[in-house]
Amino acid sequence: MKPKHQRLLFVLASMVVLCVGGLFVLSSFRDNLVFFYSPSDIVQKMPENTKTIRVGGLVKAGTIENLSGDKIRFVITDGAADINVSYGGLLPNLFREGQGCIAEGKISAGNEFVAEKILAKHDEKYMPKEVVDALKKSGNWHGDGDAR
Amino acid sequence: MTAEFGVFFLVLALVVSLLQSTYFLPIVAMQQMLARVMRPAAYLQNLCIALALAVLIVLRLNSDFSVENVVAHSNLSLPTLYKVAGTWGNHEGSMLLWVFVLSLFGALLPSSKLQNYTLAAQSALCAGFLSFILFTSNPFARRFPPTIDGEALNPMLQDMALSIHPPLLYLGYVGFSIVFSLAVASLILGKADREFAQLVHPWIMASWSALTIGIGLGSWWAYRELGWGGWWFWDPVENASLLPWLSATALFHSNIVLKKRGQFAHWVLLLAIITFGLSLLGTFLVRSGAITSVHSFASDPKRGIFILVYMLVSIGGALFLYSIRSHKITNEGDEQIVPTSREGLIIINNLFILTACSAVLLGTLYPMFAEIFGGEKLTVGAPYFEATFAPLMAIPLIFAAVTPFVTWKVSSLKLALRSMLPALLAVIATAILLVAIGGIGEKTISAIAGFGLVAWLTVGSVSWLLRAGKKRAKYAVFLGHIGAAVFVAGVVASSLYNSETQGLLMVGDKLNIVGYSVKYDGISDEKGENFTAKRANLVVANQAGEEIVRLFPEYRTYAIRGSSTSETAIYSTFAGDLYSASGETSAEGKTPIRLYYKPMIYLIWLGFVLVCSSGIVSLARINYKKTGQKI
Repeated sequence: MKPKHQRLLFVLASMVVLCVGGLFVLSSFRDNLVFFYSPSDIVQKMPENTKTIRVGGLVKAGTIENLSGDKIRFVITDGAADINVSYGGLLPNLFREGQGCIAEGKISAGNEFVAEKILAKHDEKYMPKEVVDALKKSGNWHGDGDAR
Repeated sequence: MTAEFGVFFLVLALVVSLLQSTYFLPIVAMQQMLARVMRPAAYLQNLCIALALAVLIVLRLNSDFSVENVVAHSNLSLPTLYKVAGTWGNHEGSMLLWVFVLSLFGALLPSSKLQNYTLAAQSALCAGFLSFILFTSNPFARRFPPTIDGEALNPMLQDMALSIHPPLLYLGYVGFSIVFSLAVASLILGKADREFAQLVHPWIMASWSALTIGIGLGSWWAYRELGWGGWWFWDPVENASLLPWLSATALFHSNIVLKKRGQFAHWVLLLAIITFGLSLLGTFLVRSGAITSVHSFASDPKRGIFILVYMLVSIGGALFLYSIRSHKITNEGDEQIVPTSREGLIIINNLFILTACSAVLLGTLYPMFAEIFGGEKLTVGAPYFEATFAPLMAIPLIFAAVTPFVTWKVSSLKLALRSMLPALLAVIATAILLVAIGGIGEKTISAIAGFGLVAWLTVGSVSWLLRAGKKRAKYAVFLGHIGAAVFVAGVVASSLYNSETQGLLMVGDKLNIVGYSVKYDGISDEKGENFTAKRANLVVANQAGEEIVRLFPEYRTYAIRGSSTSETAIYSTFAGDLYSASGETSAEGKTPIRLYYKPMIYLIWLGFVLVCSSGIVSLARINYKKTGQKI
């Protein structure tokens, strides 16, 4: 092979490699997008129950119930709509009634949200940005929880 | 009065740096005049900013609650160490540190033909940041009326690692500014040759080392403080530090080619601009709050826009300069690059590293664009990053074992591959061993891929070191590559063979985890300087029932912010870490306990140290040479 052909082959080969890599990156990307919903969004849009999603809002007062084992059930609300959430596992610190919370998981057949993860919150003042926006949208936002 | 001194010093520094940046104006008489004062001005500018930083530290030490920043981020009960370290634990203070490092590097620049233009570029960057501080985030803003006590530092940040982690990251981020300024200067002068490569090399290595160890400290902090057993979460802010690290890794490898062979000048200049651009992007992500992250505790869209404009002007300006001036820059000789020569392999590696970098960039920025353009809120899950980053980075690491054997200029890949025979045997031995232990399954295949790479790179690097003879860079190359192997070994071991268990425990309850039996023996109340803690008492026993050690993870409550943290307790052995974290005890007396077993996770930190030391060794070598001794 002449050096010129060798170079051409090299360029072509690297193009192919990069394209395959790019396709691979994009397909993995599509599978791993986790969308955020407020309880109102869930009622309106009914996301498919095969995809992992996040739900955020306030833990509704008086709804945390301990089930058998380490399972718990509670309601996340944005004031306009509610969603039942069940979760088996340890709760992050500062998981409280009336506080903001984000749950990650899937919607089950019984319209209950089965959470695999409850996202940690580490400061009473701190409110996840998504939760603030969801509350603002439903008109239930009172004052700024995280001034700084 | 003290706070006003701070503002005064900042304004003075701004005036000086603006004056220095006028060196860019193509007026010969003015340039001649300025040339004489460029260096003293750089010292003066740095002194002013250092004094401003000192003023802020003194204000915090004196608990001057007439200053907004001290009220918001300090209080009387805060330990002295964190009064000082907390200076850069908040937005305003950390920006002050940023600009201090920026100007420090200008002051430390050795003299060369590029000196004046470099200082002008550096001062322009400095002026931008100083106005950012003065107009949007003044750390010396007064509060009226003054308060009696402050609001405290986020308890998560009260940790030793905090006092050194941000300054090191900043040294890294901002260090690339001088590389950027040198690139701008050489574009203006139209020359980027071996001499240029020599000049930028120490700056790249120093910044890269600082960034490496800064990232390492950050992940070590996350591992110990967050209480979830992880050390890297693909959080936007973590990614923001990884991006410039990746492009800097590509940059210094290419710069070696420029230094040794006088080629790749254009690519080096472009990478220098991109690397600093990615550092700025990191700052933008952290400071604008554009992306939800655990780190975005102080964010403001106004600041975000300022940094965005700053980024567009500096990086856009430099890229424009590149487009009109790069044709002036020539490589030595005009021979073609052979793909299988050392420089050929380095450029291929560069492509893979940059592809990995783009994959991370896509995952990090996509949520922001999706929200702006589609109004949708989403996050990109960690599996995306793991699935793309690991295989893309594995390829350059496979090459890293071979490339040092390959000669410059001509193809000698066949010869090099023959030298890799011991490494190949090591890979085969590893595979056989793993199959013998774990049988054939999905886990074994992942383990073979991971540990096979480790064996390949380790044996390859060691056999190269043994044959490297008197090559001057041999220890730097060896440490960097072996460090990467050690790091990968830690990642593979601790993630593939990780075990975890958790439970709500009553006193006397037990949890079992890989050969340990852990008994919950009640909680005790502890009082710290500014927190109260529920300390869980865990008795760790081996299978025979003999007590080995007691672990005391704590659940801390900080009165002043009403926040709480988990303080982990870790039992480290040569085989791995037994990691425990506790939560809040419920009314019925049940305490949540989480246990993790992380085999050989210390190899990750060792890897960071080795990789960082490779950069330091490469720096030390330069100083050695300067003193005139023969190597």
